[in-house]
Amino acid sequence: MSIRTSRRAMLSQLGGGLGTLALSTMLLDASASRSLASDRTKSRRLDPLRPFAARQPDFAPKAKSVIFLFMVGGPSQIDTYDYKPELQKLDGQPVPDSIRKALDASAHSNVFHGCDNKLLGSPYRWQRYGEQGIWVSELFPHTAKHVDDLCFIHSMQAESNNHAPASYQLHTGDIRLGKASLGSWVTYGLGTENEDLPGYVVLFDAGPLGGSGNYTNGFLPPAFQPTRLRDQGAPVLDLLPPDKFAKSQRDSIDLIQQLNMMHRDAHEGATELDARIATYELAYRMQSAAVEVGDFADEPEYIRSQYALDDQEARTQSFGRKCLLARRLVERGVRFVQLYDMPDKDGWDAHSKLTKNHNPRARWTDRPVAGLLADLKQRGLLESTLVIWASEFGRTPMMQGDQGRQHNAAGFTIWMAGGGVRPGMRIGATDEIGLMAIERPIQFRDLHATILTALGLSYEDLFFEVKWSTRETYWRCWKC
Amino acid sequence: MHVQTNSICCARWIAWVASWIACAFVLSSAHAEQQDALAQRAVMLLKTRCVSCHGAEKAESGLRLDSAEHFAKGGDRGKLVEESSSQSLLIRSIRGDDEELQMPPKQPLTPDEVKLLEDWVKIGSPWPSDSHGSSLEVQDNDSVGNAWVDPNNPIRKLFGEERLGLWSLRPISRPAVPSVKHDGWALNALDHFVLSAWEENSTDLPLAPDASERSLAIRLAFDLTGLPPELDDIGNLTSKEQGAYDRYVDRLLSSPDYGVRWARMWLDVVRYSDSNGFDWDEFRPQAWRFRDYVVDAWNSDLPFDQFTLEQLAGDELVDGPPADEAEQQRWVATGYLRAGPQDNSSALFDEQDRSRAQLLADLTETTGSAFLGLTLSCCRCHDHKTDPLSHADHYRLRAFFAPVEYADDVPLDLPSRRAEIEKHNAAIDEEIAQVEMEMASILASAKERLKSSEKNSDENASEGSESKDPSDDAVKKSFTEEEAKRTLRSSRRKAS
Repeated sequence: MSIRTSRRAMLSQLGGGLGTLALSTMLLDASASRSLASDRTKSRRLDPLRPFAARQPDFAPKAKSVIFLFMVGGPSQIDTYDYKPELQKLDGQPVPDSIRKALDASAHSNVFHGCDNKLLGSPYRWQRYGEQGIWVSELFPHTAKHVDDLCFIHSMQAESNNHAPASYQLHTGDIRLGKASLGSWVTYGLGTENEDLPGYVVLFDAGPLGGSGNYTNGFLPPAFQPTRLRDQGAPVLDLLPPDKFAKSQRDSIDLIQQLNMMHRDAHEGATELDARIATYELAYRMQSAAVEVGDFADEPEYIRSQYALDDQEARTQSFGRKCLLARRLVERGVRFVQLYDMPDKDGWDAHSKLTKNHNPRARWTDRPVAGLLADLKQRGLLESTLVIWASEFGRTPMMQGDQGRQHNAAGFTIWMAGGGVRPGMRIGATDEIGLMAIERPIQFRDLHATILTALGLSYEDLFFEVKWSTRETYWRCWKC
Repeated sequence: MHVQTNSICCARWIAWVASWIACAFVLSSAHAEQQDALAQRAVMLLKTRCVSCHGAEKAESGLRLDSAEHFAKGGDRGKLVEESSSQSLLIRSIRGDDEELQMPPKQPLTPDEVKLLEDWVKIGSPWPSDSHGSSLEVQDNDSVGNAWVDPNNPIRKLFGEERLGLWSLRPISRPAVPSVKHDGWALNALDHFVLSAWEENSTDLPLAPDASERSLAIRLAFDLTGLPPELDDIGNLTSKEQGAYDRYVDRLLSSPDYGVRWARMWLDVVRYSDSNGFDWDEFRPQAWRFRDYVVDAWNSDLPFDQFTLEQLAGDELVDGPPADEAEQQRWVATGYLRAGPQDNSSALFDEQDRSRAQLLADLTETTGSAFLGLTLSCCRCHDHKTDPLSHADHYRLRAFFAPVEYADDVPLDLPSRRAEIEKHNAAIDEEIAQVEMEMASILASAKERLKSSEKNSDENASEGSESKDPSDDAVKKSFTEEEAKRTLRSSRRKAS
């Protein structure tokens, strides 16, 4: 009996196809905008078959979407945004005793491991930019023009000095593999504004160190895994059916979904199946939406140029396409776009020959990032889009190998811009050689809490309730 | 009107009082629990730090701290705890206020431990409420019984009896074979269970007809070997020759493919991988030995208890380097202890402790799920939410693996075979040396060309992928050269 009832319920929800879904989406959006929830103790009630339905935030949000620019491998803070005149003076000298002692007494003493006790001054020219005269090195001349819109945090710290664990921590809050990533939490908490596109998108060529464990959904339902989109050609391969199947496609999906629902009724708590069912519907809707978002034909020449699509280097173009795609995605209501700068296996990991590593990487990303900021601003999207530029750690002022720098989890710089961020803010500071955060050290978890707050999510209340199917036992897993 | 209002007010008042009473009850019981926990910790501290001198055996200064009665009585210097708690003899001596009185004399208590005893004295130095803690005399039968029979078992104390019915802890039972209405359809006991459930639930669905011999052959072959059947096998089955089915099953079970197919299931359970499974994901040149061990275990029908023992502690079954193939297999079986993901790069950043802790946690969790039917991942950080496992249980099991060390230079080859292997490898090494010479000359000329082209172009224009992690390179180099040779050798060896 119960099987039949729920199957009918399913048919009314899914069998009606696109029309029914679109209607219910519209209804929900209308009711969602009516009032903001103030009940902070409620658990997030999900419709497992519509996991991306927009949900009310806990309080008025400042940002609707996030574009997370992940510079994989650890760009050097002391060669980009954290100007240290003292370091330039001490070039070639050992690390001053007081700083060495402070580092040794901290949890980050291993940062010294593998370095020479010899400081390497920044080989770059520095210049003041913006109303406040903020120092930026010559690596980022284009982004530097936007410093007045950026909020710098100079005192980030990570708990591991190795790529994968630190990278996991930046994504999930934990250096161990297996926790849910920020993008999964955000889409779990808020759903997305456009159910025709995935709510959580990742864009990369070679992916971050540590692999997909970085953008995993962890223990959250599998529906909150990200979707990887390509920045060239169709964003998803094999999205469109061959012509001869196109006509019968909806019937096929309906039949598959019916069978899925029968199986679902007999297997309570089969969240993978829920994800599969939702994915079928999403893929169906994406057939028009994703092709549209990935087609840059309607972008005028000056916009393409802003994102450096006319650059002579293929890698600049590639990163530019990702930034442009990110803008097009948030413009269409996608909640969280995670973008990786990792065109090859090394990333910003300049263990030797700093300039040889950093110069091209800065060149490949500077114009596109500046273009993204300018474009978001001119469209009024920067107010509702939180842009974050970060890496898993920075680099040491000490030299390693031949003019290189070791990883540095003790103190490094990130910046944020847009929704919910006060422009021109500078938070925290490293010591006079840029080695360790000495003023307001900030952990990734704090950063996550800030991002969630900007999105209108109360980080203390963001939890996922696990129900064991055999028992009435609930277990709450928190984000922060 | 009045009456109504009053009754509503009254009802509200009662509800309010009721909730307050419930609240107060919870509070007071929580308070009592807290005090009891404090008492347990304090008395445990006395037991570990004081009773060796102030117990039944020595009772120095006439003082014993091994029971509530002795504690209350005090020693030659008088009572330990007076009315004014901050000046009590106990607190003065553990704080070392008076040097002569400092207790314990050689290794004083830590500030946290002092604070614990101070707090305990402040609440009147009660002894734990249950009988177990009231006497600290160490007895031979001090061990705790299992949670089903002993109320003092820590699991029983933590969770009561409700979690003890976990499926993996229930004794194996043989249920009665259900009777069925459709005679003749069920051929064995399993069929009876299937049929009886069908008869109970879905009377409007017809029974499926027997599978054809052809389907049967395909199913058997895929289930047992993971490979499609030979055409001949299908033919033999469809000929309906007497005993053809049994012979086919026997043949599949004795085929080496059977072990390969079913070893995969176990290798998945124990997280086997040919590579390190982390970051650089380096190749594990000796891992195939463990893989083959599991395949052989299946094909030789190794009893499960022996299979278990060899994987967990095979090295302890052998004295010194293995002398024969059976001993060699026992060493190889301990490859189980190394199957999980390993962060080899941690040493470059002086973070070996972190990767070691992760490794041991993984080993503990794998052992729990593979052998015990228990998931020990949750209780790595806190008591399990649904299963009868405490936070301590993870670390109790993990302690068994604490001595595990990994080594790559273990003499696994039998002495009797070494000469043969070396002879075989010598020829291959020569071949490799020749190839390497060729490679070196190709590389040298390529480097020359690269140098001259670099001179011509702007330094900045060269692609940035040449950044080098010297330590990274060092590790990779030693890995590639050494291991590639070995890999080549082992693959040649297998091929020859």
